[in-house]
Amino acid sequence: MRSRRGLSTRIQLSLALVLCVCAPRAFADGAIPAAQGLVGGFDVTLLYAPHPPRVGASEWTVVIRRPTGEVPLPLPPAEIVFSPVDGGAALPIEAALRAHPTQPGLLIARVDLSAAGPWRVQLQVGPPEARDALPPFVVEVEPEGGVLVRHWPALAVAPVGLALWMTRQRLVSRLRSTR
Amino acid sequence: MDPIATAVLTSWSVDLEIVLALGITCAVYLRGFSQVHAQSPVRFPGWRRGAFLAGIGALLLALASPLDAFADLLLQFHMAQHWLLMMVAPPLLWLGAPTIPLMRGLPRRWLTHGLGPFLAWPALQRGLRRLTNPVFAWLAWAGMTLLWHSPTAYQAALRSTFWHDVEHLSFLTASLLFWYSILEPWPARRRGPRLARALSLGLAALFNTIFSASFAFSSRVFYPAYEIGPKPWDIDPLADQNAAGGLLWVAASIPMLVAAVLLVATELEGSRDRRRRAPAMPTAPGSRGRPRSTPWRRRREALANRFSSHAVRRTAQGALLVLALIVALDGWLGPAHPSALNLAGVLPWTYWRGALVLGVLLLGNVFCAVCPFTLTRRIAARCLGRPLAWPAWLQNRWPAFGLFFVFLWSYESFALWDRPAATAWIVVGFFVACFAVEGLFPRGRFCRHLCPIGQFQFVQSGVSPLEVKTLDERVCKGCQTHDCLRGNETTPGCPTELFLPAKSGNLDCTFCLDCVRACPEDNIDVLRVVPGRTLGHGRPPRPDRGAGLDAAALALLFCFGAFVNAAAMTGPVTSWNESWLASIGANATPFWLGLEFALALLVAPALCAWGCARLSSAALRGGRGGSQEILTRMIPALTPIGLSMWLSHYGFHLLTGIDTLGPAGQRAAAGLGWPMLWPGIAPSLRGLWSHETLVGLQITLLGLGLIWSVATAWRLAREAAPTERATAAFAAPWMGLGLMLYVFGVWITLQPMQMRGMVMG
Repeated sequence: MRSRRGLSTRIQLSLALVLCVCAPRAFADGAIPAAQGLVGGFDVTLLYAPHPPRVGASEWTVVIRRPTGEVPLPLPPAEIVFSPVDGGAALPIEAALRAHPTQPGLLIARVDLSAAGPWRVQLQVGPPEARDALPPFVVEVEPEGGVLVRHWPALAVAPVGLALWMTRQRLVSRLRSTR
Repeated sequence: MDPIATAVLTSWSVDLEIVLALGITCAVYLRGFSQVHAQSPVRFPGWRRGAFLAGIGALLLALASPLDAFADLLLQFHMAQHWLLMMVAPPLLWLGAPTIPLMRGLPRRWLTHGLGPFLAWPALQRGLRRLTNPVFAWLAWAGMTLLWHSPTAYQAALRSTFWHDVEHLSFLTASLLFWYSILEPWPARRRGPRLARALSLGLAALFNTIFSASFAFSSRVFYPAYEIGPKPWDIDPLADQNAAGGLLWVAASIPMLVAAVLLVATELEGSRDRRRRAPAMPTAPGSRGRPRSTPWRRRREALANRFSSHAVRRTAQGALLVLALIVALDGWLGPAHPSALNLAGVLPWTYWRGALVLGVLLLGNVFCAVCPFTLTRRIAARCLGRPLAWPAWLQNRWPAFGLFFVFLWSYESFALWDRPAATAWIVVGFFVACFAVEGLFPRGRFCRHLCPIGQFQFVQSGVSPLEVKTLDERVCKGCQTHDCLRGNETTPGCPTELFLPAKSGNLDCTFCLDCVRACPEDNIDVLRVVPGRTLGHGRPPRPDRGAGLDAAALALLFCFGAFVNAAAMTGPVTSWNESWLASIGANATPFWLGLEFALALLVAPALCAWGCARLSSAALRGGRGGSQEILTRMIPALTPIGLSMWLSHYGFHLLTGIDTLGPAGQRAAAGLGWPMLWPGIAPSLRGLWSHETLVGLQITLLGLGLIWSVATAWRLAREAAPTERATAAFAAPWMGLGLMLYVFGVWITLQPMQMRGMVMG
């Protein structure tokens, strides 16, 4: 009995430990990789957040390394080009990436995507005269959700709570009348 | 490390709502489990607790881990997520036998008065029996699996977060039903032999095999979204789909196989098992055997005793005095702009206000308990001698009403949050006013009649969970000295003249605990009470003090003030105000703003309350109770919705500006020659919540405030109305007013806000 209890305690402690280890990670930037490849002599990975991207602000990050794994200094110039797949949906966007203020080897751009639907994304690295690019890929941009869609659980609290309260009142009065 | 692998490890997308919901569930379960485990360790062995926690962990892993972030890119990740939601979390949760622990973990009153009527509802019992019918549960589980994996539904879930959430919710619900019918966690009734359940598992495994094989051996991609999206690690969509099928096949079969083997094995041992005597049922909460003195209770009592110590209170007051001095000095000597780099712009307006409202809701009137302004009360009395009597015409709350109105008006008119020097003068003004009033007039007059902060606390602490109360009324009946009121040689009595045996609620209680120390019988303590139960039942009104109308007016001002104060910082309101003033050729001068505030805080609330009172009066055909009596009775019902708006507003500032103390403190320290006080390595707390999360939290708070106000209005109306129908008619106008305020509050919350108290503000 004692050993089983000890095992249970150990399992719970391990679970707590895992949660503690995960906790700092849990609130890290939820960017996910979108493309990776060798561009202009650099090993680059493009990540974005939020996922899926929505109409409005999104953050695009590029991790740049030399093939040897070192961070190139200074970082090469880079640009990210967004063009709507349905040509007339919106104007193309060209966003220059800037060095991340605190993390070396990272380039970052905040982009305002103006329309929902599929967008073709291409990362270009290097100076304008010798620019190299990753193969383009398509991301599906979600429409900016309406208030009801974005906050439906919070908005449901009042009507659901009131409905429960009213049901409870009715049940209580029924119970009282049957006594 | 491979950048993609790094991204995998860091792509946690934790929603505060999910963490809160799972955390609260865990806390309730653990609280209840500790009780039932102590009473019946055989039925509730420790491993059940471990299983439940593991189930919660599996849910967290499915909904917040990189599995969720990558689910839209790789089918394997998505299937792993579904596996956790359908095959891992539900059985683990049911193995924790959570029904009784979750019920016992709730506050007793919630269980008996809140859940009790529902549990006794025959229609609900019938519905639950049908839902947990093994055939229905099996069909629901298989149906949900097929439905959501059809290309149309799956693609819709990939495209829309809302449908993705619905998908996960239906998976979890259907799987909980399915596993309930398999595991039949205690105290579920048995619906048949174990072998039938094993057969159900076998059918489910067969279904899963066919389902998974269709993915594993297909030569075409079912979901086109995976073909056009980015492809991490360059995994081909078809290979990804085949791998996902294989994963689901193997991984989903394991829990079913384990469960089937255990069921068969248990059935084979059935006869011996049936001969075993069932252990004693855990007793209903509160009926008997409930430990009167739990460790938590003992710790809380020890804490209360420690806090009631004079030295501890003085130390806390001293600490706040030092903070007030720092605010005043930095307000005068520090930079006026940006105010977010001045401690006078940060400490009071970002931190203190949020802490004030949170303290009221979670504990009680804690600010008054450690108020630094009253620290000089005794010195003031010695210096000035208290020669005057407080004027009879001021023995009410109207002075505090006026001062609070002036504060709300001046806050907007003079942008106090952005003027550190003005903030410093306000702090000093409080000290001077308290010193003068406490020195010239009898003890406690500043708190009771003037201090707008104190009155705010008094009114709002009607919803607090703690109250200073007598332990045994019989002891008080024999008391001749009334030390709690009058004091004695060593300890003064109540500064606001509350007589403890007649006290009801927290109105006028400063939590100074002088009465606790003064009582020679040790018959007064800080006790846990039902929050909001005494709303509308405060100090009995006295005819010479306005018959309670002053308290009602103050409560109404605090309620409407919360909404006006928050609305004034929203973009549409500020632009509407500017255009309106421009149309009449006026500027945003204090005069015009004062006029607007008078309309919004005095005229509009008065008209609303008067209209509600008239309607309520008309509902009582006999005309019982005049408008004034109805006003004093019913206005406190609006306190919860008002407090929810204050909390929503000040909590928003607190959470969005939670990192501002660092730069402001660093700037202040640099001015004193301590440049490295805040080395800049402190983790940023601001990243813990997004703007959307905060908005959701604010709307949730407002919703809870509305429900609380509606329930309070009903309770107060029931005391005045003779029948249920009359009660509904009596309370309806006040419920409608609460609903109107809720809608207004939600609208405010969804508007773009001025980021006051922050560098960009």
